[in-house]
Amino acid sequence: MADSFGQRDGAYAHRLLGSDAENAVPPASTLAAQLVENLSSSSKLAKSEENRELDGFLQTIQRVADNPELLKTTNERIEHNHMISYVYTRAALDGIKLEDPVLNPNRVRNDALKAINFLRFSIKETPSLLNYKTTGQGFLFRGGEPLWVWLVPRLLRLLGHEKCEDLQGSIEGFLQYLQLTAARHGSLWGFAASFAHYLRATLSSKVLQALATLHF
Amino acid sequence: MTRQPSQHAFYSLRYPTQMFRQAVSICTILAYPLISSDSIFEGYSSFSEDLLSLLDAWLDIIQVYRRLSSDSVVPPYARIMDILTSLIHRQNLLTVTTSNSILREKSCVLLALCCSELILKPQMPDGDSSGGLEARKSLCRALILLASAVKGCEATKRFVASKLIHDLSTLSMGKRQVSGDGHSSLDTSPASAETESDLSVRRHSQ
Repeated sequence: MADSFGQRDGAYAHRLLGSDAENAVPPASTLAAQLVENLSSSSKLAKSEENRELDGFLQTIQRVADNPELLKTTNERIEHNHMISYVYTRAALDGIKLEDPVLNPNRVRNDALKAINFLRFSIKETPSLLNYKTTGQGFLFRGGEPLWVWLVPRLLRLLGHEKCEDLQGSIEGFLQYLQLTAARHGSLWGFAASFAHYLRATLSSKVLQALATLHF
Repeated sequence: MTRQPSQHAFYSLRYPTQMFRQAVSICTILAYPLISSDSIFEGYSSFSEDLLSLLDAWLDIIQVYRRLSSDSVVPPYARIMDILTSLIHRQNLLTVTTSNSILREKSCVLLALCCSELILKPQMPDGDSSGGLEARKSLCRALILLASAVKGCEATKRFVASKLIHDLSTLSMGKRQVSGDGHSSLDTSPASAETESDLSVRRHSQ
């Protein structure tokens, strides 16, 4: 039985916006469009090629939102969720320029939390999204690696930064949620081992070794 | 054919403070399956290997912090102690067996180190502040667990005694042995016993 994309995203979007929503909340496709529009107006996405890419994806996302029956199979739904996840991540997380002296911490927190909440929802709906690989083409900022290999560094980039202190709990919680999801789905046990290995390797090679070389 | 991750799958860190905080966070994330009460994690394999590497990482973090000697980054000792006490309980390390002796020793050494650091550092929250009360609760839980853990383990008992007895008596008298530059007396004689014990526990695990 196919879910209504609009109904699902309406309930999810309501949780995203919380009690501040006055009227009926827009679906996730509209949220993604608002994110891109906000970033475009603030010149964070100055390159036109990037804008064209996201605009193209948004048209596809909107088309499906208007006609959910376009998604007929589970694979199509995963592919579509991947596209939305890519748009959200590019618009919300990659748009955070930590070196910007006028970076607005509230904007950072709000954009990042929306992206994290949406990713959590998408992974809950289609857990195998974590292992989704593209063909290596069609996404300007994506290679052929599994989605989690592409996504996790974007969160780790923010984790522990002084301008993202408010996000520490949310990022930790999201990465723990990935572990929980992997434990609940046998198809993701390979991901669980790879993810733990990745975190251990990151800890030892990137963080602790770097700290050990610092001289005080 | 295995594809290598694209250039878009890498990130860099510039600031030591972020490196430090991220190390603590990653250790917390790695500990989650080991301390969670969710039965779904009971099927995880290679616990001991994960736990050993995690304990080593915690030890590295504390050692790095002591080298940094920075007031801008303070390890969340109370939080680390809570994770360690949960680990010890959840992994049933209080029950002495041949297979878990190294894990037991190492986790108790680490817990004692954290207790000592929390007691002696000037940043320890005081009085009735919410942070102070939570830190004291964490400390009490850790001390109770250590009191049980040292039974039947002479090496652990000696280490805990050398680290904590003096520090706790200092705390109970309302004094802290803090030198003029703000650092604790851990830099003097107790540190030699600590370092030797750290090395002996590391050798056991190799």
